Amino acid sequence: MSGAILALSLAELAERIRRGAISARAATEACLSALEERGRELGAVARLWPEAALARAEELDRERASGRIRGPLHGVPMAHKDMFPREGALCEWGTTIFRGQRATQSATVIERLDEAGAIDLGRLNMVEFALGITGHNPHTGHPKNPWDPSRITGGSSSGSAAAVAARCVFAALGSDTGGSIRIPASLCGLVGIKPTYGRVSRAGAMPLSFSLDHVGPLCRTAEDAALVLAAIAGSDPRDRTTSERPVPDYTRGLERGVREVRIGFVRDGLEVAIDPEIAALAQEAMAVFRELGARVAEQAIPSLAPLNALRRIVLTAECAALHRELVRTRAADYNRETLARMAPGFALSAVDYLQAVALRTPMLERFVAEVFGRCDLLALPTCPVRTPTIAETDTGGDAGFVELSNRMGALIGFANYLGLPALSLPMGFDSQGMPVGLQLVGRPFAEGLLLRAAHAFEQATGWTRRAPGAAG
Amino acid sequence: MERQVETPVDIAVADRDVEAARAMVESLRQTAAEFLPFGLEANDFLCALERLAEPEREGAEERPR
Repeated sequence: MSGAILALSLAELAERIRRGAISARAATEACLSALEERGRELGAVARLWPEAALARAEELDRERASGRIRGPLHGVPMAHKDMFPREGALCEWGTTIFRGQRATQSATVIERLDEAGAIDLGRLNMVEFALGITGHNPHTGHPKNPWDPSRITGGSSSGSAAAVAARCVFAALGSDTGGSIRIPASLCGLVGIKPTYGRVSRAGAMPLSFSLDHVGPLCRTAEDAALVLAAIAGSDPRDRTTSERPVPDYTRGLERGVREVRIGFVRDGLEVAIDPEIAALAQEAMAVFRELGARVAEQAIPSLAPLNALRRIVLTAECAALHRELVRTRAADYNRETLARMAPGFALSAVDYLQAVALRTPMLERFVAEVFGRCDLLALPTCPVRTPTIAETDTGGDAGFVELSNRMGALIGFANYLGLPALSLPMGFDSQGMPVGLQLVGRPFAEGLLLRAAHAFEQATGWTRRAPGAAG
Repeated sequence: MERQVETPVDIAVADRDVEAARAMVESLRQTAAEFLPFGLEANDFLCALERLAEPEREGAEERPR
């Protein structure tokens, strides 16, 4: 029974719970058991709250029996990256520096998932302070990729991706400051969406770079991502950067398909070497979209290198500002990888930072005019390199590690700097059996279109129905 | 051991970190020279996102809560 429950998508589980075919308690027990066994094997789990989760499940089952459904996620078990606090519970940000830290207030996104009826099982491991794209964290152990435990998960939402991909939990929140949702989604075979800047509140969540931080879900399917995103999106008086724009019902348009949608495929001019297998899979993905009726054409885009440089200036400067005193007093307690990523920020000037921030609007205007004048969605690989092993990348933050990190993130950071919505979905598997992600990027607030295209693609290909082997 | 360099905030970083910052700033200068008009308001980014959003063809129906 437990295996059958865990094989369901979030949407399927929610529907069965609503009609009483599965209890929230049974789903919660199945997830807790999977997290205790497979989740801990993979190094995905920071801590679980079984008693509180089971009590909440029983409460939700009683409510359903009496005819009350709290929302679209009623009874659905989830667990989240260890940077989203729940009032009174531990939240340690993937670091020993804040070991024992208890939250005095829940993050807005956690409150919204509660309102939608989700059950919170605990917290999942992450890269220290969410600063890193590979997933390494010597303090908590490097989470392992469920498709091949010798390989990295990608980061920084490493535990979130591992737990969802391993079918331990139905969805998990992550954060994305330079690909930290999309890279692990790509490497672990998931759908991960980074919404438009301002679409989802960051209030209460651990900050890394307040101009670039985005919150979003990692899920098995686009429909699941639509359900979770709809639950967490919307304006928030606790986060002044949130938009007042109404939140659509993202699930309602999913079946509309992509007929006549203009997809701009970026094949050339990406300024980074794309692994030939990944390039071939992207070509095949475009053929699928053509068969679905989309108008696929090659699309030139502005150079990504300056956008990546601008993003790194904003990221490292804001991060250095946040960590200044901690680095002065407790540098030895940081992971070397964390300091290696942050260090250039200390050597930047205020003028550099202000110019990089001021350039966001003209860069956004130029990008939208040049790209989205000719297409509705931009398509390109999420990660240009195939998933490396943990051993070959565990180099302690040396120059090679920084170079690899920059290369892995070469195709995604522009969407953080420009605030554009971007989604990664599985587009196939490489010759080593590892999943490979396709990135779709849209105009501001085009999350509905991104999810619709992803849903059409996964219905046509079935890639999201594949699960990693239990013995993997 | 790499040489450590003092920074404006009195936190020493390795030579290569200063080089990385220099490379970013060089790219910034070139972009700024082309795209940063004198006197630009730096805080209009959110307004630009709203202004450049897609037409509301997805329908504006509110999500179920």
